[in-house]
Amino acid sequence: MDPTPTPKRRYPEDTLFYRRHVINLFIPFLVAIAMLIGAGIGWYIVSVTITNNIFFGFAILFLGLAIFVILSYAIMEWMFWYFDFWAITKGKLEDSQLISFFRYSRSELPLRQVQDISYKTSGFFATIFRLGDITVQTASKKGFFQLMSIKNPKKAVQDISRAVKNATDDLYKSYDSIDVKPPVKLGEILVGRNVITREQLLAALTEQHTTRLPLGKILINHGWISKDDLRAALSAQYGVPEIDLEYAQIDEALLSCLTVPVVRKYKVLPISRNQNGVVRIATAYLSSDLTNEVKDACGSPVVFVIADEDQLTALIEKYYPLSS
Amino acid sequence: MNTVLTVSYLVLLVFAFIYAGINVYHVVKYRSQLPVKDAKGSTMVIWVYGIASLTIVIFSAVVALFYIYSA
Repeated sequence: MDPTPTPKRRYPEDTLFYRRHVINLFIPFLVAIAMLIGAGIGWYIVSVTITNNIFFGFAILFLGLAIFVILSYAIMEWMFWYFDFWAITKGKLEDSQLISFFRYSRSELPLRQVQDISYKTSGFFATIFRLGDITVQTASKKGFFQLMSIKNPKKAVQDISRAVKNATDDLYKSYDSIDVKPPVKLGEILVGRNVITREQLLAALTEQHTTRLPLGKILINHGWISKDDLRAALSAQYGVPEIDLEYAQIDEALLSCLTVPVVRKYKVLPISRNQNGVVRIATAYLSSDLTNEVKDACGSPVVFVIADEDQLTALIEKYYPLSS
Repeated sequence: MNTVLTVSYLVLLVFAFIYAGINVYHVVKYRSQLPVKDAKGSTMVIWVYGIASLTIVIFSAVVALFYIYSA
């Protein structure tokens, strides 16, 4: 037998491994010892009652066989314990278990789908040995993962939480690149695109100084630009895609992702979720407060898309009525 | 009587070896799923188990045969 098997699964060095505490083998091993003692007593009774050497020889044969079977039982219990483990690698949680003979199960969960991690300690052994059952609540179909009889569960929960945070932070990084401080001003984009003249821009800016209305709204009110012009210009300004909500399909299952106060405060609307779990949020404007608060409230990675404010308002009234 | 005992022993021994073989089969088959250190540990356990089992069976058989043939 090859003493150094080639691992099919190569785990990174910083992988966290968890296995049920070895105390779980206490009862099976106690049973094995009891069986050994029983076999010994049985053999002793037989050996003192028989005088024939042949039967004494058979008694030794059967005793050897009994010890072999009891040892096999102990190895079987060890095997089921040893091959039941959880590994937390960068980005995923793996649950491997030898359920019974010829039945092996292995499932994976992306750490970014983890919603909550908790643990509970109950029972005599668990209290004495500081063991706990950790429940990892997920957004996957499986629902939750349970890591049973884990030594020092508080520290394990902290370590797993850190791994989850690292995984989600890695994912967020790619979406944190949205520069909410646009490098180019909206008016300059519209002038540069020959949508408005510089004189119109100066007039609108003067008006904005007194009315405090958004520049885009003033330009639309004057009829100098269309809503589509504004949406395209804002999309270019923030470097994010635009969306025409008239043709967009709203995934109603996502509506609970944001609360009414957040939606109404920032005029944002969750639209859909892509296969990576990233939620598309429609908004008319972007700001640091908006992006931060929506990300925190949603609890999932998000991307923003620029939409027409009036369409957005109508949909918010429909999906997030004040009475709800 | 001796034949009955011998056949019973041999049948039980075959079953015991099948049981042991199933244990070894699972460890050898699934050890590649374990981290390298644990996989090496499981291989060592199986070696110890195999050697100990064979020692027990052979030793008991030798002692038993000694008594049976000295009768």
